[in-house]
Amino acid sequence: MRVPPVVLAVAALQLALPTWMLVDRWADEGSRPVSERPASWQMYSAEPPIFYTGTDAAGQTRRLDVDRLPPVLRAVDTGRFLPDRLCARETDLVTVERTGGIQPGTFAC
Amino acid sequence: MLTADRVGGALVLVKAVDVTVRGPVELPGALWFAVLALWVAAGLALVTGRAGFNGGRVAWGAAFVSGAALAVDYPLELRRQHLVLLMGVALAALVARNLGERLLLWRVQLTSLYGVAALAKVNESFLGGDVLARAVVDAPLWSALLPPPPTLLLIAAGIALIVTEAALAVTPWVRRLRRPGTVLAVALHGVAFVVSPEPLVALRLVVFGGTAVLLHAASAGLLPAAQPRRESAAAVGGPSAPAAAG
Repeated sequence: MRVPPVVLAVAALQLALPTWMLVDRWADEGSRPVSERPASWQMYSAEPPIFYTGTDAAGQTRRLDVDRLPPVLRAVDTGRFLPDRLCARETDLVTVERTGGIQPGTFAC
Repeated sequence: MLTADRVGGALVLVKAVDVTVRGPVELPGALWFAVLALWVAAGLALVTGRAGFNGGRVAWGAAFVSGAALAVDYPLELRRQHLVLLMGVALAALVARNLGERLLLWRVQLTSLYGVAALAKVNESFLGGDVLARAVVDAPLWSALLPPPPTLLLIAAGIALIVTEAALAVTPWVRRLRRPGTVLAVALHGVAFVVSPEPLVALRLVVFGGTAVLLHAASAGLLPAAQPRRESAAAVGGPSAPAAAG
């Protein structure tokens, strides 16, 4: 079957546009995407940012960096999975607070 | 006879309900109404299916133009994907001169849709299970009947979803996998419908899933990809019918 140029152009558009959008998002947001680009087939693939803060016995709070935890596991933002690991890593903390996500809250260490 | 044109026209009309409920956003009221009228007219022309292949091209062309205008009226539509998918189907049907070219473009559309959707989910946010957890928590039907799924199940479901979408990107190109792929697509989009959080979202998921299943069914030969010409039903595929069947 001989394919006319206009059909080839539409096929190229169908493949190139979402691919470009995906590369663009990865370049901007890396492996923790927070947005979905238009016309990109990126539905259900991103979530708003989630933050963790820890409080020590003296009442001092600080932002906790989850990037030092293993990839993928550091993105499990449901239940006690991540708070428990942050408590284990930073032994002076008495609580870990999760802000954002579907299960925000304060977790005792 | 049920054809891809008729089903596509019905989905255009379902989308018209969503547009009508929202009303005009950026466009002046009269212009918005004209655009909606063109959209509905395209849907009706496809549903009635009286014009044959080239008449279908005209109706799909009208759907593409009015769909683009609807996206101008409300740019968020481009992030909701279902209108984009319908426009992609319409553009393919508009430029294809015969059934073979139409099916070629519809298969490329499926590969693009599912392939990129699978790749877009290969990230920590999705693999960590949070995206699926949010979808489940927001779904009244799920949350009323079942407890929140455990994290490990969410992670496993996420991996299974990526594998499923990757498979659906391939099935249109392998003849013996086209029918199983259609069944898989029905199951996948059926689950998405069940976990939809509200009626209007469910309506949009019907348009999205319905359009995707339409493409799979047409690719598998379960649904004629176009309305037969009235003068000769045998000419449904035109000169490229064998290529379309393959």
